[in-house]
Amino acid sequence: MLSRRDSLLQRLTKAYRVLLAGVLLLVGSAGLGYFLISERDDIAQSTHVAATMLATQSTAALMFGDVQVLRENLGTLKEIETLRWAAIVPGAVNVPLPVVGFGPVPENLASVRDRLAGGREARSVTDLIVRAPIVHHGVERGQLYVAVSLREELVDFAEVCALALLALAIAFLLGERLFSRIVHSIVAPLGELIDLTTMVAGQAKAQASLENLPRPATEFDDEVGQLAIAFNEMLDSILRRDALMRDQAGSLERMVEDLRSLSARMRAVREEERTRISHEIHDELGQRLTALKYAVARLDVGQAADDLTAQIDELIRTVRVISWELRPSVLDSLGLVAAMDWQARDFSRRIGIRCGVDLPDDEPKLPAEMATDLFRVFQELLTNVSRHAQASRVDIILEVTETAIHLEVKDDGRGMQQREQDRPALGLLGIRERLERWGGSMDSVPVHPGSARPGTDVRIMIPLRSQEVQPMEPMQ
Amino acid sequence: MQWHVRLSLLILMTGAFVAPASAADSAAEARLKAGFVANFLQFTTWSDAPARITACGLGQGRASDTLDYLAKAAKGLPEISIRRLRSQEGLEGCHLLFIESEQSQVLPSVLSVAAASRLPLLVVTDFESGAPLGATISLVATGGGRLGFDVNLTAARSAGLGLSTRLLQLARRVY
Repeated sequence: MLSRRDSLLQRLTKAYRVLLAGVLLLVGSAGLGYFLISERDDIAQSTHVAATMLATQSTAALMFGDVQVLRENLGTLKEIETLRWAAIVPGAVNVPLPVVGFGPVPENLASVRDRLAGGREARSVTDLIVRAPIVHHGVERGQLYVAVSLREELVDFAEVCALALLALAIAFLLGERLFSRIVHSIVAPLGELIDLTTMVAGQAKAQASLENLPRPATEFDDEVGQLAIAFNEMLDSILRRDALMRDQAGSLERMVEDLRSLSARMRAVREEERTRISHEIHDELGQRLTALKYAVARLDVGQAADDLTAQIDELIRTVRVISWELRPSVLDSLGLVAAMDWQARDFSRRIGIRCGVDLPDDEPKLPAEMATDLFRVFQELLTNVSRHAQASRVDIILEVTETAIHLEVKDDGRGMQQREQDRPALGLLGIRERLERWGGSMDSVPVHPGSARPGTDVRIMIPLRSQEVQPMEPMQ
Repeated sequence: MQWHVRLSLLILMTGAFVAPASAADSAAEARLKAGFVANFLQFTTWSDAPARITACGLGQGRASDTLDYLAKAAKGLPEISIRRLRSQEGLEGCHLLFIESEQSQVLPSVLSVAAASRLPLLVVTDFESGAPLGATISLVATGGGRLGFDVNLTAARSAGLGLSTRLLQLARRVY
């Protein structure tokens, strides 16, 4: 009956109705029952008194058989408004005497005597019969029976009941209105709080600002007022936390940004350094070695000179390789596509893995730093293949559109999963760092999923803004 | 002869019928009077509160019958002893004296003897003129076979008898 589907107001009203109805019913019925019983007791009591007095009064008349006086005596009972009948039944008297009656005395007084069963009174819902013995000198001379109707009293009682019911109904209705007002005064602020909470939850879900929400009234001292104060404090603390989180997120973002730019700067510095060192080595060391070679050739020292020249040639090649690895000069002089083509062929020659190359015909015009990063990423991917994939073939595809650069490196090796178990992917971290700078991404999927040598297909994508690419002009 | 026989038979039969009838009437009357007298005893208090009441009767006929019934009628009373008197001699020791109507002429002398000896004597007469003449109570036939009584309160007081007010209420006349 008091399920939680109903609102507090409904439940409280129900509880009020049930409790009040129960209490009123209990008190009312107890009161009315007491009233009925005590009223009947009063009537019985007064009837007993009247009967006893009359019995005493009628002793002599009974003994002398004076019917006249007995009738007169019975006549005094008329004062009892609800009297039905009264009768004097003679017992041990010395004179012949009939039953003297007043009112509609029942013919069969024996049944009345049976009903009394030797007692002083017999009571039913509608009537009361009282017996008073008429005794003189210890001898019972006769019996006085007085019958009183209780109907009028019942009618009175019914009227009282009806009035009581009416009063109860009025009290119930008025009480319920009052009670409902009281409960409403308690529940209504709760409803406002619920609305506000719903609003806050909605705003929070929509990630909207909680700043300008209405606040519940807090000027009351009751529990709901305290709840409102707590609600406001909670909202304030949420707002403070929001502000704090925004600050922290901002500073974190700045920190990340700083770190990125620092990292980029470091890469740039390193790249410049490499380029410088590469040029130094290539220009200074290479030219001097070449000069040294010609000088040795002019010396004409026979076999020794040939050996020396061969060694110097080897040295010159080594210097060139070092210089290339520090900074492929092709990248600066011919551009990304030429550098990648050269790198792929060099890779195939040095490592012995066949390379399929699909590059654009024209050199796309990219920012120099982007080209460097892409080239370094490409180098790292090839290094990964040579180190871990145990592959026999690598396919390289570069595609430059107006909106993005796509680089794909496919091998037929062990697969990425297997490789990653061998060693932490520090090289991949470097690739990601370089790509992040340009908002690029890297995916790797197996070429033949499920097979023993699934291979790896690494796809690099760097988005291009329109001003960053002019594919028809070769980079110079 | 025949009619003589018939007449005598008729007379005999009538007598046979009438005699028991009048005998029954007189018995009932005696019983009623005995009841009244017994009731008088119950509503009377003597100054010396006797443990045993002596009821005396003066007369041959009905008084004797009445006294016969009196002993039976007086339930709830101290024991009653019955004494039959032939004259006013021997009134001493009597608490009640019932004088039948045939003996009405002895009343004045009985009263004077009782007064002289200051006897607490309840004098009940079976004739109406008893009470006005100084008897305490006189029985009166009120017609229809009913019985009533008159009370002489002065006589009762001078004899030192207390009569219940309830008895007085029932009296036809109180002198």
